Amino acid sequence: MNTNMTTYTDCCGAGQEVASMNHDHATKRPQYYRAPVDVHENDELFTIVADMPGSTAEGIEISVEDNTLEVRGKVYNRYQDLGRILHQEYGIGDFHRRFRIGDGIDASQITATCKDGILTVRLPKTESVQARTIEVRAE
Amino acid sequence: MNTRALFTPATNAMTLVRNEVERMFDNVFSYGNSTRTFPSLNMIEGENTIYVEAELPGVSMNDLDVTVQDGMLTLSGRRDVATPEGASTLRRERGVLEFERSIALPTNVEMEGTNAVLRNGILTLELPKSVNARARQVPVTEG
Repeated sequence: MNTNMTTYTDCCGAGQEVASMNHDHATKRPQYYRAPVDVHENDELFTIVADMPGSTAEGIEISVEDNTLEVRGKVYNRYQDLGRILHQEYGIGDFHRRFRIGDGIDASQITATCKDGILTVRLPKTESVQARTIEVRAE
Repeated sequence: MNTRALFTPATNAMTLVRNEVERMFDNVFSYGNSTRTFPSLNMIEGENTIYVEAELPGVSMNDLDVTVQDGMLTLSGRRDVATPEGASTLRRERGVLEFERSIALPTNVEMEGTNAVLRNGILTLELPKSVNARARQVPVTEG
């Protein structure tokens, strides 16, 4: 399966090089941040919910290739010229995360939405996989 | 009635997500997920303004309280990280249902002119420094 399915466009593939906000340890290495995710499953689909504060739908790129789902979220540096950093607990940089997905996922039906800095990706199971799930009911 | 699927032969064929690919880059940072550190805060001092920014993905303005008292800024509120109805959760990394965090401000600030914007999961506060806290040029004259 070699489907390159970009759900959102307008974003370059490679992560932007982000200099450290800490001027004492300025570095030119590219920095990516690992978005924390929850993964839910029901009979029909898997749902990935990712915290990506600062990202918008236009800046998020999702691709599926070789059974790997890749999520990138662009975050622009918004601190330029504001002043001196007094306290910093997070850096400004792009988000990146990869997941392996199996053949039970219908890659052509994957959809995604982004709202309030949260990305939600829905991965429907193929019909054959859904049909093969045997329910056992307690009497 | 227990309708939970007890036998799912398809599981191996669709090991989505359960096996996450190893992280790709060495300098990837993970987030603190404890209530102690949520939300993460950054603070910047401008000439006449203190900027405080907080990462609050999924929080709406209605569920957020921002107060300034005795030189302390406090953010409190809640966000929904619940499992959707009828689903089971395979992985949970996003922490925190309810949160409260305080941080000391470096100078006195005016409540008038304070500006708060919550956009794309980022809260930005603009807190004007009180007049006394602003740097002033003292004119020096020859005498």
